[in-house]
Amino acid sequence: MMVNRSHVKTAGWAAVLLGCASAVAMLMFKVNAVRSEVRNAEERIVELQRDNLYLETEFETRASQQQLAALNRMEFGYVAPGPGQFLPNERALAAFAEPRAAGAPQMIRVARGDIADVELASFSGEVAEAVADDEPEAKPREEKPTAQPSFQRAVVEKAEDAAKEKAQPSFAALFADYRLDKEASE
Amino acid sequence: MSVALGGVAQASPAFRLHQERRRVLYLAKIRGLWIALVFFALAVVALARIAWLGAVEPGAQPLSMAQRLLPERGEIVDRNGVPLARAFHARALWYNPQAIGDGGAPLVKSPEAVAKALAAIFPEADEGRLLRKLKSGKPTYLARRILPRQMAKVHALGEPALEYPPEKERFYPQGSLAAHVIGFVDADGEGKVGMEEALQDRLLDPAGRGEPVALSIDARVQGALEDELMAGIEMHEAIGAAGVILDVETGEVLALASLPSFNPNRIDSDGAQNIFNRVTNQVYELGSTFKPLSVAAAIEAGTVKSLARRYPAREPLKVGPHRIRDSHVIGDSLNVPETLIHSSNIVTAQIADELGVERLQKTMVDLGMSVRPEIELPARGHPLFETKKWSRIRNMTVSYGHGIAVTPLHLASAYAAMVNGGIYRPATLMKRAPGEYVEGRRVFSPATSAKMRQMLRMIVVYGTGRKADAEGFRVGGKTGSAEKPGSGGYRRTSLVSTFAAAFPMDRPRYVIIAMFDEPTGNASTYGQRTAGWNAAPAVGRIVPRIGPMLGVDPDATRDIDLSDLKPLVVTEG
Repeated sequence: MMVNRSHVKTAGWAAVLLGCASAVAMLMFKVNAVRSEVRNAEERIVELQRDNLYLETEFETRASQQQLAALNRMEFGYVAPGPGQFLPNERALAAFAEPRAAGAPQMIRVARGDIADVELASFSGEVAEAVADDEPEAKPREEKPTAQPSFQRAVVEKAEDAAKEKAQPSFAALFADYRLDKEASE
Repeated sequence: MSVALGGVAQASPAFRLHQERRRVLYLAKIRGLWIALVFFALAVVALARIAWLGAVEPGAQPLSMAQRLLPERGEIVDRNGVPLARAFHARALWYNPQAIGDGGAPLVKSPEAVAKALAAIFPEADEGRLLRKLKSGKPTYLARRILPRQMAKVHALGEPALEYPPEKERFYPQGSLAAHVIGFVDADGEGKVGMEEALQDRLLDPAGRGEPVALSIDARVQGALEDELMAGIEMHEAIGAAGVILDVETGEVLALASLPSFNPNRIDSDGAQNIFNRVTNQVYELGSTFKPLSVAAAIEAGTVKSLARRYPAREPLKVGPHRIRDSHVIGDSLNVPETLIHSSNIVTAQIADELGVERLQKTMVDLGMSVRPEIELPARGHPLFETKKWSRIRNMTVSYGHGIAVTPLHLASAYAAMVNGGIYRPATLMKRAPGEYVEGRRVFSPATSAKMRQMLRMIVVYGTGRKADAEGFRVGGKTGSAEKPGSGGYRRTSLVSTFAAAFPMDRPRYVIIAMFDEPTGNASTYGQRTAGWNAAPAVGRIVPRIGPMLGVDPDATRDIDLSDLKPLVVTEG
């Protein structure tokens, strides 16, 4: 009986040992597989880096200073900018501003307000509305008349006018024109 | 007993055979033992060697990714990181007729079809030449440095004889741009001529070659300088040109051009003739560009106390058997600004004579004129500079740029010292870190420098340098047209025309030297070939191109204050 128990115990230990060895072997295989993948990835990175370098060099060659100068001579004829194309200081920049004309649209201003009481989490629309609803007495900010013309405002006004002038026709209008053209050609 | 002994003494043959057998066996055992010992010793040695290799000597480690990405030779970039020289693994298209190896035809398709397909992939290749190579049956290159997409297309042809082996290349993406600065690498991997030679050890150092070496050169500025100088060569039919642009505060060289140039990617016989660097290796008598330096030395020494003082200018100056004359009679007398504006040799020689030999010679030495130019390039010419005490006539001729021959880089460094407040600093091709300060040595006082800035600007506004007056850039400078020496004296038909300039003169930041070798007069210059007609206009075209790149915007509302000197100059109209 003792012999049998000893045999069983030995067999058990052998099985445990075998299991551990199998687990270790599996782990080693797995580690080696991952290591191989890493090595392959490194190989790929090296190849891609070299390709990248090669293509970058090709680009640099095609965009070399001499090529660009030759291209400019043949195609574009750009010349160096003159002093009239530079503004020496902010005062010269401000000189471009014009007084606001009568009946001109309101200038677009960046929103301003005291956000000390507003938590960071309240930047969503709902919370902002809730905060606004809580202050029914708050009067809308009156725009103070500016004493002198603002360059920013002049730019915005010009941009708005330009946008009106260059207002693109809607897709429906374009499509209607297309249909008319097509019908005419048929 | 005696019988027994007698028996032993008279041993039977069997006994002797036994004895002999025992002796042979013993000998065999001893020999076997020796052989075993030898094998044992060999085994011990082998084991010891294995242990040594395993424990002490490092084995062949596989290269890490970083090591494989490390270039064989470090990259050279300009001050903004634009690559000027780099090593990379390229692919070549190699024709190997033995690839199939069955003794049959080397190509699957006909050579004509393959040549046509290759010509479609490589538009720059000559189809007839490709066909001859394919038909020759000899292994040869069909193309070098092919692109990955070209390689894929060749692969798609399905020809085993077309191979693309990897090759290590040193490539210069900007071609011949700044070729004299960069240099090239020869077939043995040795850097030649430019910074490739000067930085040879650093570029190969495994610890440092991963980081690119930044030069002080700005590729955009270099491109503009070379472009305009080349246009000048064509316009004035000169045999060559040189130019340098220098930061007056740091001595950094922003651009350095010697034309005609060479292509470091392909050194052929034509290119080899142009390797000589005209900016740092060729010495010239740079003529009247020396006059401001002489005047500055006289102001500094106190021999010129008033710029309004007038000197006689009508008659040639007699010094022993020599006569110093001007190209034409400028007037009865000239003051100092007029002397520079009209470039009078007679008056400059008088100013130098008053200054004295020692002081002018010392100024020239302090400006680095007596030694090779201070720069990292290996190609640096020895100036023709009389080191012993000058004679009176040499002192006077040197004052207007004759009897002394220096490189254009010498002149650039001297002008930088003259306009930057008076500090001489050596030129460098290495990018200086922000805030890196070079001590330098004081040659002129700030007051002298300020006066010279005014007078250089006046030369461009009122004098021979008018064509360099790029609007809004406040250029100041001096023209110089010197006859080239030949056998039996100066050759009147061969000029070296130079314009040495700085801008903006209200606060100088850059010095430009433009020089043309043997320009000719033509209809566009009304037959003139002096610097005011070729070198000065070149500077006038270069400055507007490079100014905005270097942070100097044109401003027509600003200029250096000339109000105190303007009344001294009789202007036309």
